[in-house]
Amino acid sequence: MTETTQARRRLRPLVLALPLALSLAPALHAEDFVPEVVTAKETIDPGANVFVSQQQWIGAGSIAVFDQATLALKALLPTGSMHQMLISADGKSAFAQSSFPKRITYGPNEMVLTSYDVTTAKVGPEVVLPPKAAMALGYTPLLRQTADKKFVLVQNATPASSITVVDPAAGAVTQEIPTPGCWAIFAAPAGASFSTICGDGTFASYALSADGATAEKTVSKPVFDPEKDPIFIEGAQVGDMLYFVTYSGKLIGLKDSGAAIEKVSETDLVAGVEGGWAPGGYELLGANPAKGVLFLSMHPGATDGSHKAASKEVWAIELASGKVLARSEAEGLTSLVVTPGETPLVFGTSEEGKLFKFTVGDDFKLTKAGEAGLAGFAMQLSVVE
Amino acid sequence: MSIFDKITDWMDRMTEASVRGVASTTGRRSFLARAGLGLVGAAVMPVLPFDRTFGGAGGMALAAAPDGDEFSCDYWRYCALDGNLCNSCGGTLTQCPPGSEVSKVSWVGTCRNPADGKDYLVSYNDCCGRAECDNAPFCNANQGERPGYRMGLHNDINWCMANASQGYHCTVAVLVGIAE
Repeated sequence: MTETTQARRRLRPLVLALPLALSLAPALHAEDFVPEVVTAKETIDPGANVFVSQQQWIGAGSIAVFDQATLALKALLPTGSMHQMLISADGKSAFAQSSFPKRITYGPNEMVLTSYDVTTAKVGPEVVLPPKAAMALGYTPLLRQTADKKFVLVQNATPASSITVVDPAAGAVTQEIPTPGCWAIFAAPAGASFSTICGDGTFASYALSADGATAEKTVSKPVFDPEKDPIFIEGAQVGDMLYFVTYSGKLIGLKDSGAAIEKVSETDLVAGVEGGWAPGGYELLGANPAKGVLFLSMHPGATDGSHKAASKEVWAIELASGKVLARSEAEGLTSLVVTPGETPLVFGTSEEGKLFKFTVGDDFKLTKAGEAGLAGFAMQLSVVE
Repeated sequence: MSIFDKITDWMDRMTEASVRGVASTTGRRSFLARAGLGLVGAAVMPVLPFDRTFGGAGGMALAAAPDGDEFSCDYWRYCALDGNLCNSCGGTLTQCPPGSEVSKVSWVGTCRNPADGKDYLVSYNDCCGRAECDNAPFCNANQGERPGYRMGLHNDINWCMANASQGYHCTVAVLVGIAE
């Protein structure tokens, strides 16, 4: 008998016993096994959120809801194409103005204002809009809610500019306001008024009637020079003040009392600073009202056309004085947002599809504290707490 | 005269030369508002600022001399182009790819041709009604670009907005005038 044959004979009992053991195994453990049941989670996890618009131009986009503390993704709120995002002041509702072209790339385009319940991440009522809404990159002032929460305001472009006024409670459009030569929407701190930036350097303000069907208009004096030093459309609202920055790096303070906008301050943020620094990005600034500080994306070596450049640094600026309090290295941010409380956090997005979190020290310096992955054109963020 | 005035003046002239009525969803551009002609409802007949054939013919003539690599984002005409290059999607520098539609409206840049040192007005027309052509280089340059309150100089928006089919495909760069 060869060694090979002997080895086979020794293994034979094991080979015969194995199928028997396997056939008995389920029976032996069945009474201990509890099958899992698939369900859908009913609510998002608790805790403060940071909302990131993940825009798509080739199909469905989303609003991503992240946890501020951990940057864990809690839910995606589904949108159509080229959407704009709006988060209610209490953070409990979200809105998106989206395009739904019937054949995605061609055919009739239905434009819709969709509402969402943030806690359950469920899609709520929607309002079909006149098919004129701006199909633009995500900018905060292209979709706004009035301070009294009665109306949602939609920026249109055909390319003639107008604003659609929506009453979400009634599920109806109340009017379309022509705003020729003007762009972007800034809700007044109280009531149902808003302002828009005009190409001649003025702001036009509109006070809506109680039913939203009419509006009274007032126009400011010129508050910036659109030829020499245009302003970015992303502004920071602190109380009854609106703050904007210019392409060259001036901080302009405007008083928004609900009537005509008034200019009250202008400070050159880069005066005496070496390196050709200038603001850049999309949602390039955010304010923390509790500390009275603005955080601004800045890049060096600025030239004509670099105004959308990602950050090299984020500057912290005292709003009352325009003084630069701190400069932090924070590379690659094209948009940022700041939490409003006593201990501010800064969240920013990059063109490479990352969400970054920064803590803010007593000296207003930023320290990176986390990152998460994003999808689509993630150029708009929102926080309310 | 500022460059914006030059561009709007040029747009006015182009409009005058090639006025055409369009569907009620299409409006006139902000240069009309700037001139004090507010848009109220349907009281003003909407018109288009650009004649698409003009741009093609003019662009071809001016582009006769070799002046750089038109397949690179560094090409001089692309100084305010934000989009995918149509010449890498089956089209050319001045022609939309087959099957797509030329955008009825466009934004304008002012770019210097290094070959002759002159500044040209460049109409950046989007091509519409096809899937986004991500096969092509994506360029994002912003010389002279302005926010939407100067709509004719704004490139963060889908310029297929006035077309029946609004899917963004790619962008061409057509020489339409000289900025003197």
